Amino acid sequence: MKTDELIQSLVLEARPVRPLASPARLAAALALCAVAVTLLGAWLLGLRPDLGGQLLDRRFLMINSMLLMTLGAAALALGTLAVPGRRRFKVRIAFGLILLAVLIGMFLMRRPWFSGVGWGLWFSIGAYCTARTLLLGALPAAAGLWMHRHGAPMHPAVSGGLIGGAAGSQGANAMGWACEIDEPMHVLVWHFLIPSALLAVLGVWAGRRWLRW
Amino acid sequence: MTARPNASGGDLKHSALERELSGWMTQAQQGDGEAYRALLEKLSQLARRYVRHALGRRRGLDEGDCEDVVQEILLAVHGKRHTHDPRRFFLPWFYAVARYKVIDEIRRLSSARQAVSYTEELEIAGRPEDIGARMDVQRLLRGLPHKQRKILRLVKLAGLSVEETSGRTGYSQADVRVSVHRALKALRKRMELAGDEDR
Repeated sequence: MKTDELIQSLVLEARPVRPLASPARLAAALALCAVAVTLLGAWLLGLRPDLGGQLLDRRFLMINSMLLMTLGAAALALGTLAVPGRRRFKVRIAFGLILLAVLIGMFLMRRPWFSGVGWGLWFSIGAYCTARTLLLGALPAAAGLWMHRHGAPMHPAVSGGLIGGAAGSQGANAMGWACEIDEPMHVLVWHFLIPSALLAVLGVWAGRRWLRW
Repeated sequence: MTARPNASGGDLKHSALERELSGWMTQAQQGDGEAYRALLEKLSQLARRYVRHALGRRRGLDEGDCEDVVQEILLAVHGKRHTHDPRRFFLPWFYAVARYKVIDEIRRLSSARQAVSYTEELEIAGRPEDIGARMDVQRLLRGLPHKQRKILRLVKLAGLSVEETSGRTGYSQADVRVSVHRALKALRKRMELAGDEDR
């Protein structure tokens, strides 16, 4: 096909297009997704018995707020990555990483890190929590990939990794409402780091495959 | 005034080309066919110059293959035109799309070279008679970009029409036609390469 013929056929397909969602709409969709994942977690896993007390606990609230802020930073970076010609995504990713570092610091400041249960029990309970966090994170990961395909992702692997990591944060947030173990190492490793890292790796793979255009 | 991919915001603000293209794009996003035609014609010139510089001169791609990349860029502009925000400059958006497609082509070229060296390895291993058998449909298809492979499977193997394929995949009908054409051309080229090595 010659280029002139191609132009002719593209002109025949000229129709009004719906612009990409504004940042405000994206933020609203994200907040809705976070609520949906938390509700799904509550429905599948139940709520922790001491949730009432936890909601008044400053540390619980701060950690969950930080998780949501990290998620927001990832969403901002994703919004930039989905539009050709925008270059500020590196700044936004760096901002997200700083939030992540603060979040990890908040976990490490809490004592005792480890409650002293046997390693076998620590691993088996941890693996159980990780499996559920992954399950909760899978839904926002799939939704994020699907939404991102509507844009024009300039760095599909980076976008996929960010989507996976952010979905892991959502899963960790929802898991915090169900799991009553507050030991910092348990929450950091099994609710947050391992599921987010696994989802990020899967996201990189999926991004290379499905976000190309 | 010629706007370059790395032109700064200050340069673009005073660029007649930027104003003209941006205006056409805004109208095209509202469905104006004539503005869209003017935009695509101008973009094909800019894309041609960019591709010739990036792939022709630097990588030795012939004129026909350069034109294929120009068409890929126009298809990408068509498919992703909703991502341009009319409040922002148009040229950085366009050159980012063009660059993405050029990088795609560079990747494709390097993977095609790897495929050729793979058949060379087989020959060295003393099994040239296996090469023809191994170049079966599936392997040939694997060498194609994901989009072309998917479309070719639907049109040529599953027997769907262009309209049906467009409906199922979400790609425009023009995109489906060009992808089939491009995929067949790539397959022909690969088979010729394999044939040359057989001889």
